[in-house]
Amino acid sequence: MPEGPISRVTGTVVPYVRDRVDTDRIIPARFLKETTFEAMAGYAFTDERTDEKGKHPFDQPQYAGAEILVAGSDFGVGSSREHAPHALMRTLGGIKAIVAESYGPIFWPNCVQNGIVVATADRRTINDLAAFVEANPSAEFTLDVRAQLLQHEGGVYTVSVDTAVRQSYLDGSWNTFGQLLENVDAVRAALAGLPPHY
Amino acid sequence: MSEGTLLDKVWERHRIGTLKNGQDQLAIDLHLIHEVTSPQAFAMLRERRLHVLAPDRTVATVDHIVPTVHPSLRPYLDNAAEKMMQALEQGVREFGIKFYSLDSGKQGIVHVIGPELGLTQPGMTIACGDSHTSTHGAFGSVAFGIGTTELAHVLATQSLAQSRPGVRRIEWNGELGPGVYAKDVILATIGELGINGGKGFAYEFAGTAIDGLGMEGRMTICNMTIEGGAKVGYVNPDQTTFDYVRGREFAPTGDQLGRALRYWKSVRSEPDAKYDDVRQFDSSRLAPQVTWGTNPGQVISIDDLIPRPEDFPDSQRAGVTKALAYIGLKGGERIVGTPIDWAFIGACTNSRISDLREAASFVAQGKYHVAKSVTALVVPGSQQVKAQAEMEGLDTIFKEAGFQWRDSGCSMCLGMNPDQVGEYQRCAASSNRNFEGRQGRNSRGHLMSPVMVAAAAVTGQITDARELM
Repeated sequence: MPEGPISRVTGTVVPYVRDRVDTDRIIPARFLKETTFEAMAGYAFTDERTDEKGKHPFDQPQYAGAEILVAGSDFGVGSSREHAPHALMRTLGGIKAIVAESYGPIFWPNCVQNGIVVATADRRTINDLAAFVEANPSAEFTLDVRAQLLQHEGGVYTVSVDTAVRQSYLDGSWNTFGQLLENVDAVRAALAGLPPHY
Repeated sequence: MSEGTLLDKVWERHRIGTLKNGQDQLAIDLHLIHEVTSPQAFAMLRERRLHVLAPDRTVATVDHIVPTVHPSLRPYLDNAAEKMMQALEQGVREFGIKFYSLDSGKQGIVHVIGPELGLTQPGMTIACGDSHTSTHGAFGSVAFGIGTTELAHVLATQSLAQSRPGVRRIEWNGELGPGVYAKDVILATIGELGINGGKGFAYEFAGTAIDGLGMEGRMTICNMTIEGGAKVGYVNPDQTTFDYVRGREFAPTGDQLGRALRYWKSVRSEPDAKYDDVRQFDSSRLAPQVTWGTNPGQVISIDDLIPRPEDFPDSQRAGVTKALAYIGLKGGERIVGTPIDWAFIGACTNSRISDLREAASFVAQGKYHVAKSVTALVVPGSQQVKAQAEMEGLDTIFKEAGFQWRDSGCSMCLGMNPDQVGEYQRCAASSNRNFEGRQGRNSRGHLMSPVMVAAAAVTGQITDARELM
């Protein structure tokens, strides 16, 4: 997991433009019996990779080192399992940024908490980007968080990162644990007057 | 932004301040944990040498991995499940957390035991490392699922960094017809608004149909809010809520109860509250709902035809084609008559006593028996639900009709314990997710109400239960 400010992510891209990919598909529940996130390495998309017999993007050699994932709409809907981003972080070159049309509501905060940059783009941009990557799998991209651009030598794609989340990547405040800990005295004081104390 | 809603009031009451990243620090009143998403959080605390800030506000149980046949027989044959169980047992011991173990008599699915024990109360903030935590919103609490890192945040700080959602009011007006239940209301809602239609919203459920439901029906509705893309779903607390909570083990008593009631009434949405969106639906003509695809929004009325890819806009056709291929059905045909292999009554959506009573009474009134081709499971949501059902003789009704009467747990909802649907087999299920592989590799699940599951079990096929009543 990265530490501190994240202003850019550089790496090759894996195109996986499928819609409504739920977290059960990213990591089927039977693998959640592992009690460490380290053990998630290698489980990402296990079942569909088996079904697709080597044709799944995550099994194609040209994407083996990819660090940026391009996905479709509603990526990561469903279960709250943080095992899903952890599986992605430990697959291919280690996924460090995702560009999708939209995300599941618990999945994307789980990504932010692990320093994975979550960006959105419209469908056309995503399709164009995927088509380019399929033709040029070794193209190296840089996702510039501040400028909200995904660039490679020959071109640039506009992406979007939620304003507050963007700021938190840039100043390092995406990791909220320390900030929450600073205020535990205030929390403790407030709890004395909160349910089930009436 | 909304103003004067329950969400606004409960949020403001629990807001500690604004964090550097712009989010609110929200105090969490009640934290529920289970075996699957907690071991890594305990490890995070150990790594940072932190303790649990308010151990009295975290309650643990075990539900996802427990077998529903001889659950107490240890060590488990599944070594990974045994290790996971031990990780929870070790964690609750080490950090001083109350644990409803299998021998407590009060173990069960985390979203069943919270309300049952009276831990869940109106106006609370409730978090749990499980997306169906929205269930507790039925009591007028703000309850949502969190990831494991956030779970560590709650353990160590009893608070979370959160952004306040907008509020969409969803009204269902009109009396529900016979054979139509809360499950049908929420499936139809998701069908109408989409699986990510609730993005950025909390859902406030209201209207005469919701007012008329008991607490367990309201829990079914709030349970599946997340399937519509909203992390939080709630119903404003009323007399039905107060009557349900009062007298339970952890419910306030005496002077506390008086003060609690005042607070509970004060958090209700104001009559002139402002919403970010309002949607209204007519429940008087609602038919039983059943899913045909691989997400809960792919749902139709039981008497409708399965949609064809060409019924959808261009951008969705490939997805619909894929869903139909996975589920093994053809567009344009009736879903009624689709043969099933498994029937599952259970899960945090529909495993409470009223669910079991309705299903048992359906079976008993027709003197039905489970079809030969079907394996049917009834899995009570908790040990207390099981005991209550047995006191009422519901177990006898089920067993004599050929259903298996199991011990409590998440069971066949998620393919994580021995109860799994075989490859390419079809299951009529009262649970909340029909995702690819959800109930086991290449399993085919159809979501519906418990009575509809019972009807499918006894006929061996997807059936309109109303015709058998």
